[in-house]
Amino acid sequence: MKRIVWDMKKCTGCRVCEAICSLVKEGEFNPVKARAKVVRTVERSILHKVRVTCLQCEEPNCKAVCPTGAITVDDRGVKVTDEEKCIGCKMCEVACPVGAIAVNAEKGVSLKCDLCGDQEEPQCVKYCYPGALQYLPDERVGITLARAKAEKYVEMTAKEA
Amino acid sequence: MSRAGKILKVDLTDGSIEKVPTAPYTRDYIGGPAIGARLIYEHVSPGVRGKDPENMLTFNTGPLTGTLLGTKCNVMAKSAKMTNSTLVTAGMGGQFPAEMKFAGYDNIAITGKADEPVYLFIENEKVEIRDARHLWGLDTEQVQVRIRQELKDPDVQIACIGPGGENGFVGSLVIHDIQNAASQGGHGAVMGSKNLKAVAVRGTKGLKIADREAFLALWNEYWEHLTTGRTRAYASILQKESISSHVDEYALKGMAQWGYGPDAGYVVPELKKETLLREFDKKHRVGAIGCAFCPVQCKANYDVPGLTSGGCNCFVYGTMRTSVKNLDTTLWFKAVDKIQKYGMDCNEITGIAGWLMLLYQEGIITAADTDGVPMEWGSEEAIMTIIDKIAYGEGFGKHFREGIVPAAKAIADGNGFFLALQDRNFSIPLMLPERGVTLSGPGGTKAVQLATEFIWYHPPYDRHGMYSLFAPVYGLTDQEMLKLSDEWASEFAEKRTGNPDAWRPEVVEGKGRYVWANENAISSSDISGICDGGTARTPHIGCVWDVEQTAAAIAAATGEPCTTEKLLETVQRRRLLELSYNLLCERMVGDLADMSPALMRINIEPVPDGPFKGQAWDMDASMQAGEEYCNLRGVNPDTGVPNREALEKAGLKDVADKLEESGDSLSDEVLRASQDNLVRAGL
Repeated sequence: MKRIVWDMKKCTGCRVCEAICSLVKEGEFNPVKARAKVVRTVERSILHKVRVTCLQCEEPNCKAVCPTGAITVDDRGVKVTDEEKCIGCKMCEVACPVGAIAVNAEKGVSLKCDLCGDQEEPQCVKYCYPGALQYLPDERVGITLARAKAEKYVEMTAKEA
Repeated sequence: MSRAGKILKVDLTDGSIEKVPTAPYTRDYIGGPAIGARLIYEHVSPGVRGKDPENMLTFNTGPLTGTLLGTKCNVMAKSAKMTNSTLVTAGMGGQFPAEMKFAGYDNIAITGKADEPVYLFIENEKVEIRDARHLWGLDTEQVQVRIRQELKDPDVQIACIGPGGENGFVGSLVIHDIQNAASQGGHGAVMGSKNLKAVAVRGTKGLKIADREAFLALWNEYWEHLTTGRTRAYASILQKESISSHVDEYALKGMAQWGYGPDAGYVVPELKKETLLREFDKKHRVGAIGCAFCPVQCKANYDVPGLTSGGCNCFVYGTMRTSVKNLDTTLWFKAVDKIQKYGMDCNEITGIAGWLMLLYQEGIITAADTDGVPMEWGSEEAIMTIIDKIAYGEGFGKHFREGIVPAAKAIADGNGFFLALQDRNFSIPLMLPERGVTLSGPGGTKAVQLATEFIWYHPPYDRHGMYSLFAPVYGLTDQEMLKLSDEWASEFAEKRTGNPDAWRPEVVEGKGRYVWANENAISSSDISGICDGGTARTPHIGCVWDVEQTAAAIAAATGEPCTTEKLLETVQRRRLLELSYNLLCERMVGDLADMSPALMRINIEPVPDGPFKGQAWDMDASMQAGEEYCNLRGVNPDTGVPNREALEKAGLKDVADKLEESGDSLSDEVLRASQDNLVRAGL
């Protein structure tokens, strides 16, 4: 399957991913209903940002604890929520190890990233201006992350030389 | 739809809180500062002075704020200046404007004065006036940390003041998060005069979009400009480098004055590589910061280990280098960071520092006039002392509470004012050398002097400084880039005026209409909540987003009919209302200060040196262009008074009647009040 890879160094914390997510999925601008969140922390006037969204666990807790079987794995390998089956019990919210699930109180269903199954690519990836998000097949994720670190290493050693 | 739906009104004197619908204002004023101006016009008598409790401090978002296309709010109030308490507005971005909308408020209007320091906490429906006695005296970084801790919510967004605003310094501003500021006009002092330390807001509601497909199509258009279109150099450079650090590029090309005052030239000393601001930027930049949902994130976040950390953008911060002849980049950041944390305007402080250093050089003052500190050019001791003393109103700093004008009398026995660069009692430390036809210089019109903001016309004068930064992005040589930039400006000028050369500094024909079109782009973005940075305000650097796109986006987001014509009518209505109100203020409070003699001299006299040596402003041509502009706006070029016909056409008959009633000269009573005002200001 393909998944989203986030580069902390490139991310500016602009929150366009949050905005486009809630617009595409819910027809409104509302960070509360976005399936991806940028957690911003300011310390000593320095901005730290961490993007939190479903990482598509291989053995998903959310699926395991769901009492109605609303969370399933689709033919792309993506863990998706069936809103018809979901009862908004919030078990998935509690079980998620990265804090990527929240329940939409209005609809009473859980909000979880489905990698924009109806689109060519996730919309957050499409509109990531600094290029901090990539949509990659599983087998390319490792080398991509290794390359990012390696390039940093090359840069450092080049400076020393 | 994309509107929050309510205006929040708070009176700090009696603690009353009222929520009224935005709807009655939206048909005629759409949003943003247009609604803010109407609120102030309706509720604040023109005779009220900036620091009076009756003044109204407003935060005004637009219908697009909180969406992917809108990032900002405009902070608006009567200016804190005792000498010219006219209506002034300043844009402020960050996360605060969107959070205001998510909490359910399009506008916040604060009047009155609390007995003790307070802060306002807004969380959706809940609105509380909370004790801030323990927060008074904290700087803008500390107070935000404390409020977040106190409210146990790290996502609360805070607009606050520092010691500068608390102590009533007219060059103080409202700060939010890192480096987002509502500068110019002294809004920080207005907040301080109300005993209001901060406004903290948290919202969890959404903004529905009426026509998602139409909105997405416009967003895609905007996105293409930024990523593959002609705005791409502007956007990428803004994200990767601080604009402040570009001031060296300008200075080295003879585009920025080195030093301060009417006789300062445009030749800079040799700057070594390690003393360039762009090198500082490379070394200490730890990331970008900016407004919610803006792809560009145009501000730089710096960390200088062992010294300080904070944000910086905007050209004016660069003047803490050029205007005070400061070659030390670490001192530069130490100073601008401190100024922001004290909640003050870098422009104003730099102006004061440059002026004092010039007076010291000329022997008009000695160290005894500045508490024993010699005002040497580029001196760290001098710069940091000025910042501290002004923020806390201590020692010689207390003379600057109302700006340079009264200080000139107190510090230099009145002998220093002739060297001060002042326009309407604001400091103008940075002068660009390219001259030509201008509407805001001498020969400019009264109407321009009465505007609520300084930037009425962003002439492409800065293209000489920009082209070498942009050229590599497009794979062009510097000369090719300059040519392309000129073609873009010509394309806009031809579309808007019929004369492709109307933008050129020396051209008169169509200049008034060019300024009018430029202002329409800026004002429509203010009204809608879009950042004016990427709009046709600056066509020469590739920005093409204009009134048509903004109008279409408002219609798509709100579901309300909004055409280009309607938006232009609203821009016109806003401008006439603000001009009329400021005229009424002038007639009631008196003394709308004009340009200082030194600034007048710079404008009239030929440029002394550098690549633009010998250029001077063309006064007659400026008058001609000013008349063209005024005719388009429906304003008398000589008096600045809007015509009754224009006011009535804009649906402002009530305003026309009020203007007529007030007469065109100051009554004895107003003259007395004006005199009293000047005495209070120490003049």
